[in-house]
Amino acid sequence: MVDRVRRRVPLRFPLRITRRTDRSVKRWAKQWMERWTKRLSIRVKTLVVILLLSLAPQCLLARQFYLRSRETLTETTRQSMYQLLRVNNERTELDLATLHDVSMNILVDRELFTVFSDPMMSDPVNRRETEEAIHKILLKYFGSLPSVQQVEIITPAYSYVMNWTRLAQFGVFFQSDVFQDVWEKNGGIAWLSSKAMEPFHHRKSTFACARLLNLRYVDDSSIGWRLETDQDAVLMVMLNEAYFKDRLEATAAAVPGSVVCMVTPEGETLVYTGGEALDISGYLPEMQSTGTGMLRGVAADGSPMALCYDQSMRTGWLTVSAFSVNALAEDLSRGLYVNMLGIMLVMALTTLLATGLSIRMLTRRIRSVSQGVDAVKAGDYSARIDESRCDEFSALVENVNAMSETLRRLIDENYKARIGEQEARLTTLMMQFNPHFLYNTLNVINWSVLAGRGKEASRLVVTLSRMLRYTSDSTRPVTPLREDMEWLEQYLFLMHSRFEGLFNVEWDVAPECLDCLVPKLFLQPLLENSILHGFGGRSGGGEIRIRARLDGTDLIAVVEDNGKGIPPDKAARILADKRVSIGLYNTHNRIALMYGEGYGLNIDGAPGSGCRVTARIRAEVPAAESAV
Amino acid sequence: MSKRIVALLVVLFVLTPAGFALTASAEETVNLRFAYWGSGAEKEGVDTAITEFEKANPNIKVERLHIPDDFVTKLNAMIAANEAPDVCYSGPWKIQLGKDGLIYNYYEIAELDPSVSADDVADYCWWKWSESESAGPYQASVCPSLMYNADLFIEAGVELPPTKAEDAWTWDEFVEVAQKLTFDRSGRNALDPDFDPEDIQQYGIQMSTGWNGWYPFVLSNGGKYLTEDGAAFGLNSPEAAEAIQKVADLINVYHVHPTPAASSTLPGTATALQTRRVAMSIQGSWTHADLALTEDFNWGVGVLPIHKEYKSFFHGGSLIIFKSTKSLESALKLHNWIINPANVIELHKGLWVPQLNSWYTDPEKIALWAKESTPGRPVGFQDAVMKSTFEHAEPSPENCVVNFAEIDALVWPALDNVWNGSMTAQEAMDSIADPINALVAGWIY
Repeated sequence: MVDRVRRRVPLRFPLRITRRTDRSVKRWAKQWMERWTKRLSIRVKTLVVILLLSLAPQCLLARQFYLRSRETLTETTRQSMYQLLRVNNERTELDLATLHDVSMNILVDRELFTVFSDPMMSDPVNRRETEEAIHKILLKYFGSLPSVQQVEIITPAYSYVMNWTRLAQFGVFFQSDVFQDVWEKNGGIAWLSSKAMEPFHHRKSTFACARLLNLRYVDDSSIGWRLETDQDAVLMVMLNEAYFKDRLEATAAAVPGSVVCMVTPEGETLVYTGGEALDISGYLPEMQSTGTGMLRGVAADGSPMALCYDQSMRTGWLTVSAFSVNALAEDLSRGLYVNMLGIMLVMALTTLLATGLSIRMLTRRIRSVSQGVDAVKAGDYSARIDESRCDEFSALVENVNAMSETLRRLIDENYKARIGEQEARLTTLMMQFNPHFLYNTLNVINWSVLAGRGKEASRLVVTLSRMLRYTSDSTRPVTPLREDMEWLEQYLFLMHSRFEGLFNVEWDVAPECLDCLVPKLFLQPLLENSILHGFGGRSGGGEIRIRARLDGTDLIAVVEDNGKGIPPDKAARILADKRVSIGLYNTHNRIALMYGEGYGLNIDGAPGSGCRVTARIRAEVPAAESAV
Repeated sequence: MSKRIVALLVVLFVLTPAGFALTASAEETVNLRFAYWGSGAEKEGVDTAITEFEKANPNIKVERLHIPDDFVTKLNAMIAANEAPDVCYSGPWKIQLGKDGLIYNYYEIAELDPSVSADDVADYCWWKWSESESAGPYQASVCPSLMYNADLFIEAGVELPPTKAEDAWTWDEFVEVAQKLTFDRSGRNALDPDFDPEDIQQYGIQMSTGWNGWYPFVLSNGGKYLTEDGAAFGLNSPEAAEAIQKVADLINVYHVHPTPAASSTLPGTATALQTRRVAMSIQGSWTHADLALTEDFNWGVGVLPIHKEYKSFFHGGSLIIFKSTKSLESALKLHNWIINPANVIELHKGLWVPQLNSWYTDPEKIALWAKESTPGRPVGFQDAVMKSTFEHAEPSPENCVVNFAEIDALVWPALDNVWNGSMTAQEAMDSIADPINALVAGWIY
């Protein structure tokens, strides 16, 4: 054993946790758990369980609440963003409608018609006049529109402008796709993206709208005439990007971190806020088909994004705004977590309190029950637990009380009776081996022998032997009176021999009593009392009368003497205190135990008038004999 | 097994709405644009009719362009911008649009929608730019109508105007009645020798000075706007000049009609009749709508007076359908819906009269618009206005004379001189005959 402990176990590097170690750790953990759970009181266990159980749904609730709030916040922001977008888009729509109408109305301008119907119009000689005239007309129509940056009427020969600062070069315009588109529309408005306008711009391109200049003249009689001309002219209105951008910025300002842009249905960006144009090409098909609404999308970095969009009825251009959901939710989270923690703390405390109180109620009840049981355990079989409450424990309490009652009854009846029985046996045994009785009787025998009265001695020895045989048979606690009487006679014979001439015995036994079962040697103490105490100090003239008769269901045996008598208080004390006369006390208790209340000894007698001891027992006849 | 059945049911369930969606989308929505002017009751009537049309044709949506001012300018702008409406109101300028090929010839497209039969259209109720080309039938008709304040007649003890064409007054009878009903402020009527023409309280008659006022009498006297062959101006013929002169005489000779100056101080026709400024009025029948709104006013209608024969005419505007329309059938449906009296029946109870024959011959239809003793149709209306005009209708000059607008632009200033008495009718008409003859290009009808 010692050797084994001493032996070194080499360490292996790297330390690997093998399966076996793993298992032992588990086992150790399990053992530790079991130890602690067994040690902990129910109160603590319940508190812990309830706390854990209530915290779990609270955490769940908190998370749900957070998610819901975030959802609501996102939704609300999206809604208001959408509304703002629509409102601003309506204004843009108005601007576009104005452009549409103004560019349409200029087609019936009489002055313009007059200018263009002059065949010498394109002659460079007239250029200045024509330019001035057209410039004025364009100003008249477009000069006050904030959405317009520049207007030009483009002809193959020359472009006539509204603002003298030219933005674009329309040299090869009439070979371009843009012109083709405008021409096909035959006077209808063409909305051109910045991309389409790129080939013509010097620097930054803007978006525009254009019409083929189909002029008509309406005369005084309301008849309209079409301008017959062989040269095409195009009205080109270049739009003010800054004007539209301002409006988008106003929309973007509503939600910090949001961006707004305007795109063509094909995905070309016209205007945008923020540093870079948003890539929303993935969402275009849906936006196109629904025209207006809100979407959930994903930003370039993968974070969730909310989109709102509205389409212009006129141009098909989409105005789109987007904001990051997470950025929005950040503020929300902080405040929310603090609130949630506070609430959870309060909930935990209240739970603890509630649980503590209810457990206290329980343990108190349990304790009162266990106290009651403790009392019974200590020997107080008449202890009862308070049954005044009517709760779940009442049944238990009633049962425990009933159990105590049963216990008490059993102990009283059987246990005490048995003990009484054993004590009686013991007494019998004691009496049997009473050294004084034996000693005295042997003395008497010895004297007889010494006196030469051999036959007398022999009779004494035989009688003693019979008596001892009778008393040593302890199997039957009750015997028929007849047999007990026989023994008493032998006893008295011995006593006669010892106390010669001291007393006489008179027998008066009713014959019907003889078969009654009586406690063995129950009269012996009475006789001993009379002989030893009643006649103590005398030398003769003692009279003892032994009577037995039936009294109803009872058997009454009386031992009367004419001895000294006994003071009444002593008589009472005898039966109460075993120290005064152990024989009488034992006999009385034995009878009381065997037969119950009302049975036992009764001592009468006054000093100088003798003593009468009455023994009352139940008259019991053996069952077998009654059958006979 | 049961799983399969469930799957089958699910598939069917899903397919059925899909099927519905497909069939629904097969009938695509048609968008029409309709431009019009008008206000008050007329606009309401047309708006209601269009709403009912949309209900009856759920796949057609009509965008209404209400243009109360500068209609022609705006329409031309739309035409120039290649955005002409599908259907719209029109004026005489539609003739040029027809010649320029911008609008449909109704005769060519009429059978695409049988709800209105071209045959049912009353004679002459067409706007045509050539014998065989028409912008369409009248949207609704109006006609010259003689209206009077009955109380004035009763008080003056004058017999009420006749309601049957065969009982029509002669011009002289008419003049006499007018005289009996013209009072100066002293209460003397025009027959009284002491009658003061400078101080007239109540005029016996007030007429429209436009062609819808005097042209019936030109026709009644045997005159015509152009000569019979349509080669020359006709109002300077003796018959026509006489008829015009007799109208002028009402003003300057018999003093039963307000001078142009006095006319400008008079209120509108209905008010003038009601407030007893005028006892009789010959105006367009649209005035019945105004009279229908008056309360406790005892008015009536009678037939026009005649010279030789009873003559009258219907006139009215029409809608036009642009060739640039993307859905001709739907546009035609809309067009025919609006001109069908049944769809604007409220307007035909006062403002307008129908332009379809069946509405003058079918008693059930007549009861819908011409029921007498309704606010717009006093007792005698059916005889005095409906029958008399229908049975004696001539084409209206603005529809049957080529270049009418230009010619009329010269006629009415000349007539001003006749009304103010500075020239006779003959002189005035003769004075413009040459410029007019340059414009004359014959009859359309």
